Amino acid sequence: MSEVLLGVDKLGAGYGDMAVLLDMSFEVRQGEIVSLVGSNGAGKTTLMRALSGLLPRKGSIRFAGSEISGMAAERIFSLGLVQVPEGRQLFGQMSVLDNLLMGAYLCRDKKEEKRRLERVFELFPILQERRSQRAGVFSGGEQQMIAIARALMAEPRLLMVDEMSLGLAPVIVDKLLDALVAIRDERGVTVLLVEQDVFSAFSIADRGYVLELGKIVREGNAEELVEDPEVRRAYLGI
Amino acid sequence: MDLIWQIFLNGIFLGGLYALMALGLALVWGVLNIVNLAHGAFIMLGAYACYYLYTGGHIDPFLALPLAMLIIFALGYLIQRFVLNLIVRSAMFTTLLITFGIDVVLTYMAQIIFTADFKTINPPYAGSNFQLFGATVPYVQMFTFVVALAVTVGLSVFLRRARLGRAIRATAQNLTAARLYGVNPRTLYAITFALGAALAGGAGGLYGMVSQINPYIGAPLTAKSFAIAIIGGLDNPLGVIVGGLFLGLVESFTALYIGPTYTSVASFGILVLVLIIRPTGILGRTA
Ligand SMILES: Nc1ncnc2c1ncn2[C@@H]1O[C@H](COP(=O)(O)OP(=O)(O)OP(=O)(O)O)[C@@H](O)[C@H]1O
Ligand SMILES: [Mg+2]
Repeated sequence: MSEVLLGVDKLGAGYGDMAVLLDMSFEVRQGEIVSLVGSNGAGKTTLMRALSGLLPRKGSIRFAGSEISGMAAERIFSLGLVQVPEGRQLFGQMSVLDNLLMGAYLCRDKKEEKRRLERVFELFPILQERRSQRAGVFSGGEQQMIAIARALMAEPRLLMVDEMSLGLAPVIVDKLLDALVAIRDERGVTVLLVEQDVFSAFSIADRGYVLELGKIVREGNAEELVEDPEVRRAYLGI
Repeated sequence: MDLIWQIFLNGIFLGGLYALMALGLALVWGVLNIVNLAHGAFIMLGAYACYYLYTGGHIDPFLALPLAMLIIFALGYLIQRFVLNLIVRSAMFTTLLITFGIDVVLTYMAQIIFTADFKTINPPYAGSNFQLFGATVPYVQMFTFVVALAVTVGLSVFLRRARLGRAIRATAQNLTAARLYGVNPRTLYAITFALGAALAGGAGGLYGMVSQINPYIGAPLTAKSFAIAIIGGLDNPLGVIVGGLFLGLVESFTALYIGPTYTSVASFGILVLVLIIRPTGILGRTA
């Protein structure tokens, strides 16, 4: 088995006095696609924020060999832990190109910036064609594509994608899932996909976790989890 | 006819300077969501910096300008870093109160250090001028106009093309996302505020070459900058050129047809008018 890239142990986080995540433990190995599913308000986005260093947190988070639970967001980001946030959070008034370049903000090397841009355009050629248009005018699926591309511009080691499928048609979601697989296969980027949509999340995942009220309640192979009667009852209503 | 042409040119030249005056205010407003009431104080301090670099340091005022801007940049950076960063993103009222306080302190200190006497920056070429299709154009007036426009366009290019400029725009639009990609908001706010101050300082230096300065010139210039920023809008830095030229022309023609004492009445009349006609434009950004 490959080495552990992200190891979370007894993680606690919340907002002010309200604890949302309670003693959460899970791991993501190098080169894996791991999906973490949970229903509304389970704490998925809170987890993303805690891992990225945007919320106060307790417990241990090891990433690429460093303990990052006490680090500032900027440092964690520069270690290669990059998230595609829920709701995409694009710079809507700025061009696609500017959005992408913001992903490489910490890269001060023009040549390297250009190289990254070319690689991202290889993956999403449509973004190259429409690079000078405002990000805000794109369709939902395209905006998600821009958000993923922007994150790739940071050359992540671990790409965390929050609720990628929200509000998108199934065909579009399938395309984006294919892109995530390509990102892992061709670039060796490890992916943590956080989703409400169990089917799409587990369709490409190697392993999965189920999150309920701030706790991991199930874990295992993606295929097993989709078959799990509990999961099916809770998430698919079957 | 000649007179109208002359007045028109005067208005245009004045307007270019006004554009630069408002530019820093609009930048800080758009990015930090702070209407900086101390903006005029930075203009005033920039004028004094230029004045003393010229009279004390014997540096040509136009060459002293970048130096004066640098000084005010540093001042702005410190104020943002140690005072305003404490209240950034708080309610509009709080930021107004604090920046008003800064304005009072800076004006008071200027009065103690520089005295209340009027001063002018008078380079040897101050009196020379040339004819342009029948109108008299002082060289200083024209240079201030050219420099003001060049700095304004320069800032616009910087925001559009430079890495830091892009980050400033991104932070103005979506702070959360900008942080996500490694922007440190504290540093970025400090740089933005300092830039706004430096632009004010530069405008002040130019102002001192075409007008008299004393410690109290700040407040009315803050108000004018505010009016121009509203007319021009905050989304495009070049908008202040439109607002500045408009105000410059209105003031020049008011001076001619109604009387020089009424220029301020005219500019604030416009401000009130714009606030009545386009209140959503302002509320949309400040709410
Ligand atoms: N900024 C906040 N301040 C206070 N409470 C919050 C905040 N954001 C989320 N919460 C609360 O934390 C809990 C978990 O929210 P979170 O957004 O992490 O859920 P989620 O799993 O991402 O849900 P969804 O699928 O709807 O995105 C919820 O009870 C929510 O109300
Ligand atoms: Mg969420």
